[in-house]
Amino acid sequence: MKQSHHEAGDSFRWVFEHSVEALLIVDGQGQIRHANAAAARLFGYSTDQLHQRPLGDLVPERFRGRHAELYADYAHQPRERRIGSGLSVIGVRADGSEFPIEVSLSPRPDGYVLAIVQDISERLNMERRLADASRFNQTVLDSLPASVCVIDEDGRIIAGNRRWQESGAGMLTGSECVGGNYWGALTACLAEGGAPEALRAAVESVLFRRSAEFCREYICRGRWFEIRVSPCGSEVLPKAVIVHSDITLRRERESERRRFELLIEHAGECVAMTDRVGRLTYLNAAGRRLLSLPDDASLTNFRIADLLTEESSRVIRRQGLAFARARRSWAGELRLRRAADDGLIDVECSLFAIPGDSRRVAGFGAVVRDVTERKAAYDLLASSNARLRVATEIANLAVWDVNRESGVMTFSAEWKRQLGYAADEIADRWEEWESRLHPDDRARAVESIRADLAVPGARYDQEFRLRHRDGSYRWMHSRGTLLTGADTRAAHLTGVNLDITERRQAEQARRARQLESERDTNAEIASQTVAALAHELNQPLNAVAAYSEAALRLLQGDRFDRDKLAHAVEQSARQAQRAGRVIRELMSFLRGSAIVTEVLDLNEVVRTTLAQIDTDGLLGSFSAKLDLADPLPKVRACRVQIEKVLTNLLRNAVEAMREADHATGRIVVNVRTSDCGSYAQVSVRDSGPGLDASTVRRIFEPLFSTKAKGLGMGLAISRALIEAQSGQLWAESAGEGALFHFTLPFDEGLTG
Amino acid sequence: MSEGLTVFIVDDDEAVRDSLSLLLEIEGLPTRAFVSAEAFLDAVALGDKGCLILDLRLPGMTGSELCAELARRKLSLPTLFLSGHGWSPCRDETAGRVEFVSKPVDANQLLARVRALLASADEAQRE
Repeated sequence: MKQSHHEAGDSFRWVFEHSVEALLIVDGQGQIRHANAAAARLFGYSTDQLHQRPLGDLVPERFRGRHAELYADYAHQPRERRIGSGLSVIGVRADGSEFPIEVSLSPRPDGYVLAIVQDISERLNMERRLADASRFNQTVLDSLPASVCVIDEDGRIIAGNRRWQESGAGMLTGSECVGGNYWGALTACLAEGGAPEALRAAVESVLFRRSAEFCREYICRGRWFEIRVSPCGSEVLPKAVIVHSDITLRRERESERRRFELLIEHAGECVAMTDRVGRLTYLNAAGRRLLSLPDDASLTNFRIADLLTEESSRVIRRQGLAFARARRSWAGELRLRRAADDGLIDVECSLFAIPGDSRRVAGFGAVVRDVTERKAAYDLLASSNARLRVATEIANLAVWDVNRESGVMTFSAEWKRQLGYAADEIADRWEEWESRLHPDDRARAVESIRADLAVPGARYDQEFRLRHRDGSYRWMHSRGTLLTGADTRAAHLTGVNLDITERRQAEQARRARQLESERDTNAEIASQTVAALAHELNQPLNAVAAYSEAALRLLQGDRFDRDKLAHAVEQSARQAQRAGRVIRELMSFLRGSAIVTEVLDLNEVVRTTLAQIDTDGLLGSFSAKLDLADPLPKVRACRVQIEKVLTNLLRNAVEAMREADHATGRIVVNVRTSDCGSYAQVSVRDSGPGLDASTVRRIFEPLFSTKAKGLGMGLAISRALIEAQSGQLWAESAGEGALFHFTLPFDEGLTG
Repeated sequence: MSEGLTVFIVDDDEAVRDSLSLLLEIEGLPTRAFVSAEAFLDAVALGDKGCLILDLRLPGMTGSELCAELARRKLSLPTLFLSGHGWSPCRDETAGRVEFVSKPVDANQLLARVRALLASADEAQRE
């Protein structure tokens, strides 16, 4: 037993000596009693050097006091114990260097303590690196622009990166983000027709290794997400990593791009794109139609150069591409050759470079519009314009033309010749026309032309006077039409002037002659009327004279004859009565039969009469001004006679001013209610020499006249006419010029 | 005053005929009055002598036409026209002597003229 105990003691000693673990046997006072070779190596001593050393020597000096206390406590109540799992225990080697150690203490029955010392610097290093790696991974995951989470086989969310924890990819919030259930979140967020079951099945099929990773898009609460699922974990503990990316912006951009593509594809104008060397890469529908290409035609065979005529191709090479490369767009006209039938197409083309990724040009874009028809129409227009111009000059037409857009006015040579100028003496300008207009016609002519410029299909038709080079005015009849083509900007008002000065003068002369002859006729009628009247009165007066003479002679001398005397006197009286009858009949003829009264707007009658007189040229160089009280109650009178009276008064006024050798003068016609209120009163005042008091007294007498010509019956007749209509006509000498008034009763049936 | 001389009056106006006839008769001059030129031509004969007082305005044949007709018939009667104005209705000098008196007549002037015409008619007859 002792032997075996001894053998056993040897055997333990051997193990103690040869153990790779550093082993120390320490007594209750902290003295090292035995140290094996590994312990000596660990601390840089020989085994002998460690023998009998205090344990505190193996601890850095700053910890020794504390260490000694702790060890004393331990020795007092020793037990199996592991000390310092971590960095709290530090050893110090013989050379003074320190290193982390882990110590296990086991009390022995003899009161000694077995200490097993481990150098843990390697392990600490490993742990630190591992933590670093983990932090790195977390940082990477957190910085991902996606929400990443990991779920286990039950769908429990066991981890998530920062973005996931913040937003839960729109599925979850707050604490639910980690620890919540993914399937529940999925169902809740995809409830509205998002097919959550199908998505869950797809995720599960990756989770349980039935399929590799998958990727799908889904919409959640109005935003689009992409979900990418990868397996992780093991077959025993299956897990899945789910990456959610918000792709709303990307999808919006894509749909915007698709809209642009659609827009360009269906644009009315042709849009083409080429690569850097001019190979066609895109052609929209209008472009395919223009070139008669089927929709599915391959574009790779076409080079832009093949589609152009040689000349256009040269233009593009020399100008277009250089401009486009210099980042400026180029626009010009080109001629395309249609491959299908070799037909030629005139186009307007704007060309621009499409910038590439680097500074190089990626290709070119072109917008092309077919102008074949417009060009043909323009050519036709140009040639017809040229023909028109030639015709205009040959026909000596005074043509004018206003461009609505630019306001530029042009004139033909004849237009200028009409005004006494050579073609190069008047510029083609609006002002040349406007400034030559007679001041009285200007506003009307200009306003009318401006109005007609605004109305498609308008017809300009005006008469106005234009100043000739010699200062005289020529009457023009100007007629024009607004010509509008398809392009409304190119609208023109074009017209022709006809010089109607002679015609107008002839017309005026004819009217003057007509008036003259009317006057002559009136004078003739008056003279015949007077002759007839004279005869009718002369017969009885003659008889009266003869009877009276006879009676006188019978009373004289010896020829007294009672019967004859009675006969003569009786007949004389009868003939006197006869003469009176003639006068009465004449008066009743004048009164009764000629007057038919009606209800009249006196203002209107005055206005019309004055206009007629002006038209007849009666006013000459004099002017007339109307001063009407408006409104004015209606009067009852005979229109024709009122016109005659007014015409007579106006004519008298003009003649009075003319005979006084007035070059200019003014007639003012005033219409108002008379002072007593029951009559309309018309007053005519001229600016002639006026009437003196004696003239005013006698002026209405028949045959009284201050004029060189005329019977002097006008005012007498006028007064008779006005009085026949229950009005009055009188003259006034007050103030400047002659002043005549007449009144007419208001029509009480209407006003009362 | 010569015998057989008559003052012929042609006037459509009754009062004028009557008053002139009365005045001339009171002065002792024989008169014959006619209502129209036609009536006078019907009644007048080649032997009739005297003078003619003629109204310018006559219905039917006018005074100047009557002058012409008398000249054609060689019935040369000196004529006194009664007119409103002083104008000559008859340019034919062969019609003989023509005088004018304006209406209304001045009796003294009329009588002087008529007597002068009758005297000239009497002279012509004697030659």
